[in-house]
Amino acid sequence: MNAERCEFIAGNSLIEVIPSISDDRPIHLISGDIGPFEAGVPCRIPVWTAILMKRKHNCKVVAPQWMDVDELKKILTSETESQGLAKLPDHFFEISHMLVRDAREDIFEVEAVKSLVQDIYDRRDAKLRSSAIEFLRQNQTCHAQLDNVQLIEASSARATLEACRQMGAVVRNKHESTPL
Amino acid sequence: MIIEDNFRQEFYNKIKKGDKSVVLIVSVDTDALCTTMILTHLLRCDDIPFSILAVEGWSSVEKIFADSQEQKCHYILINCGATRSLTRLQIPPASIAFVIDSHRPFHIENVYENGQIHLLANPSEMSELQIPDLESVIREDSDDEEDSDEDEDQEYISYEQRMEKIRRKAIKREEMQIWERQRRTILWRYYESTWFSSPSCVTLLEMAAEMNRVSAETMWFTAVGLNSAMADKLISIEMYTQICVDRMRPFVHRFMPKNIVNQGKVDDLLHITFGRELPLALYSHWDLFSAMMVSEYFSIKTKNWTQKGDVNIRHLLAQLGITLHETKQKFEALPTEQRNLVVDVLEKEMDSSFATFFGTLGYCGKLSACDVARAVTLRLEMPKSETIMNRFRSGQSILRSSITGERQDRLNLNNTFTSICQRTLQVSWKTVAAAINQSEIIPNGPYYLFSCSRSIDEDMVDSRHFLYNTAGFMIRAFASMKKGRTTKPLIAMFPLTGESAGWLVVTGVMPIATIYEDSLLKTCIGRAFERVKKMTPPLRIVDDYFNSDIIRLKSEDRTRFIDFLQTVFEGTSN
Amino acid sequence: MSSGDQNRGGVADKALQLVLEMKRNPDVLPPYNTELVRQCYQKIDELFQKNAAVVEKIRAGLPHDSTLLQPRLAAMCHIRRCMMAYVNERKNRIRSFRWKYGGALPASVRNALCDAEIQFFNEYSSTLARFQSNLGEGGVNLLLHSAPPKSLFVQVRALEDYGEFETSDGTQVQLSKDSLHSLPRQDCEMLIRQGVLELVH
Repeated sequence: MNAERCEFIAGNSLIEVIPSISDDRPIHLISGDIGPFEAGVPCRIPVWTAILMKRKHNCKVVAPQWMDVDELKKILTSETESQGLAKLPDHFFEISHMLVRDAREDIFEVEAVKSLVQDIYDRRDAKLRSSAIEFLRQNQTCHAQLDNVQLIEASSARATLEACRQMGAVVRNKHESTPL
Repeated sequence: MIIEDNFRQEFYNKIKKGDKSVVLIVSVDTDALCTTMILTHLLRCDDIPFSILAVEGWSSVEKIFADSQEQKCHYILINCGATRSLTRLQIPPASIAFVIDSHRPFHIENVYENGQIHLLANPSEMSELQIPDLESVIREDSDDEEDSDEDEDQEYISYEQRMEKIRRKAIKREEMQIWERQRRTILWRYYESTWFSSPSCVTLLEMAAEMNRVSAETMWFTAVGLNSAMADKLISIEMYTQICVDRMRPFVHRFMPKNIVNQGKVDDLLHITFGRELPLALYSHWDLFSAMMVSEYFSIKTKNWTQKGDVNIRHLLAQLGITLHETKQKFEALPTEQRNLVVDVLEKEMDSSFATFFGTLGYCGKLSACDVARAVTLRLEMPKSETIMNRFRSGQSILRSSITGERQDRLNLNNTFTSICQRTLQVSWKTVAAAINQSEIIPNGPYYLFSCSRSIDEDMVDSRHFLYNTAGFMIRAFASMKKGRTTKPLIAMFPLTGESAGWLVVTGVMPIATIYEDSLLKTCIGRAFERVKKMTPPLRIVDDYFNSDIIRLKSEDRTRFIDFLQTVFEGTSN
Repeated sequence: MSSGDQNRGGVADKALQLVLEMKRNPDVLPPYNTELVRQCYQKIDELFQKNAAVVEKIRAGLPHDSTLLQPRLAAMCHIRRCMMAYVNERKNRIRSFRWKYGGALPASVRNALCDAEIQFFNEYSSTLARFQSNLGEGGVNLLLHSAPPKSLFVQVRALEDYGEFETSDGTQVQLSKDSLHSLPRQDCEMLIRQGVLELVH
């Protein structure tokens, strides 16, 4: 699991768009049906479909409710105030990244949104790092509990923790195979 | 055949059908590159697979056709293919070609003779094209043969009938001869001059707009392609302004900052504005003094290649109220107020109505489409030692880097401005200065001849941008030195070095007097070269370029070429 | 390891050479070094015999020198470990060949494998094929989907004169050196892996 695959999974979540083309036939996908489309009528489709349609100038994306400057400011405040991690909407970072990259005309005040999401990411990243250091420092016990970790944060933390574990194994190995 | 309108139906939807693979054959020039960017954007929106091959001359096109004789493709030729018969280049029989080319005139065989070939043209230029009627240039030969067959079958015919038949045949032969003569005259007049119509990118922008697929990037590509046609002296300023006003205006309004949702706050979207600009190449990335020194207007006004040049410059600056110090500083370093003042003064002095497109993205400064066009053109045309496709890709990346807003890309672009564009302008100026100071421009009967004695940077001399700009600059500078030099064309020869040592590259410009006559910048130089090539004993001439007024000549044949050309020019009433 | 006396050499030198051979050739698989492997076997045998002789002497109550028992054992383990590393590295690379070349190995690679390795490759290929055909209806070719897809088409550049190439929807494409193409991602994946095509912006 890495960032690219997290984004792939996030692509499955639904988002509202306003198509600019009309098509009577629904599209049958493995995960369900999409459409039929009628120009100007909002409908919910997976994010990956929305991005593809946006690239072909076939729809206008409606930013999710949480992607609003005031909402994001609230999230940032709660993130700053609490010790642990705040609860975020699912696939928060992946969806923001995809929409800012491919649908920026449809996001209101896209610059402010970008910087707020970045701030939220940085705050959480700092907390995760200090938590990881605490965890590795443990001598007797070896467990930790952290709520509200996003999938993408877990996958990047996994790489670091895995590397630390391997380093520990190498160090132990060295001690065991010291020449007599 | 010619497609005049409804490009979406007649051209794009036919490609969309998907029964043949799509191959783009693209000439290596900025307008073609911009057209390709727009067209490939459309093809990608419709999930149509395609291939791109870049070409620099007719032989490359012939080779592509030769390599794929059995294939069924839709060939889209961009800025090549209109002026020579594609049938003679052996276009594969099962393929269809669409030609989006700004070169004119169309070859008659492409217009009439081959159903495989479709030429896209603007309805507004149809009258200018003056294509002869079908009957006057193509003749059905089958009637004659039928007659002779009939004769052989019937053995038993009377004497009178036979005489009647012979008389009829004689009349027909005479008619044929008259028709042939008329045809030759018509074609002579038709092929007399070559010129450029509006750039292909504008046609494609309009087609994309019909399909509702225009974004700010598309419009920027068109702006760059359009500016490159002007910077390369392919179209006149009048035509350029007309296209900006008539055809680009609806798009300008769409992408201006105030129409976008975020109300003019700085954001990461590409905004395009259309505004007045000094027709001084690259001045905003340079210092004014250097930019003025190499510009045609100021150079000719102050005759800065002469010994009095320095003095003249100081006079001029004093007149304009600009200090020498101001001009020698980097333009970006000047405070904004001063910048605006100086630009105002210079605009009034140059008395031009030039306006161009500016792109802004985030906090990166304004970028003028004209400067970007120059950078892309030069990157596409040099160095010649790089392969065509590499140059094509480099040109693409420069074009893209003008709109990514990333700092590294902007730095690369600035680097190109300084290392390649400014250098080219300086070399161009030096060539003109040396030509005049060392009296290298000689009148030779009906034309002026410039034979460059020193070798110029090999990469530069073979590029169309350099040749057209230098030759145009030279004839104007030459005419400014003495009265009465406005009625003859100028032919310029430059020696090639390196791999092509022993060859000259030859080009020419029309007399100044004619340039002011029509806004299409029609030139007969290409035709003159063609006629010289046909004369005997044949000279070693390579006319592979898509522009017929640039050729390569073997150095040993130089003297005979000069004489032949004299005969040709004297033969036609200029 | 001190190499003060060149003549003596280390007891596990040959084994080390095996490991170094793989390390020095990260891109190309060197031919299976049957000779070196045999020498390592021999070395282990040698050491084992010497140890067995000492053990015999101990059992028989004869004077013996047991100082070298442990070191010899350690040396045998070390040589064995080197040989395992050698075989393991080769196995990993052979597995990756299946993903790079599909079911058919090019002759240059095939010549570098010993018989057991070729057998391993074939068995691995058929296991993979069995697994793939079990997924979904008609099976899935995992080779075609190694990264999450972003779009239906990719922009590629041909790195050599490959010639004609047919895409999955029947269109013929001529791949000549340096030409640019926009093709369905699935059709390109194998060629990208083999280095015929290169992804471009």
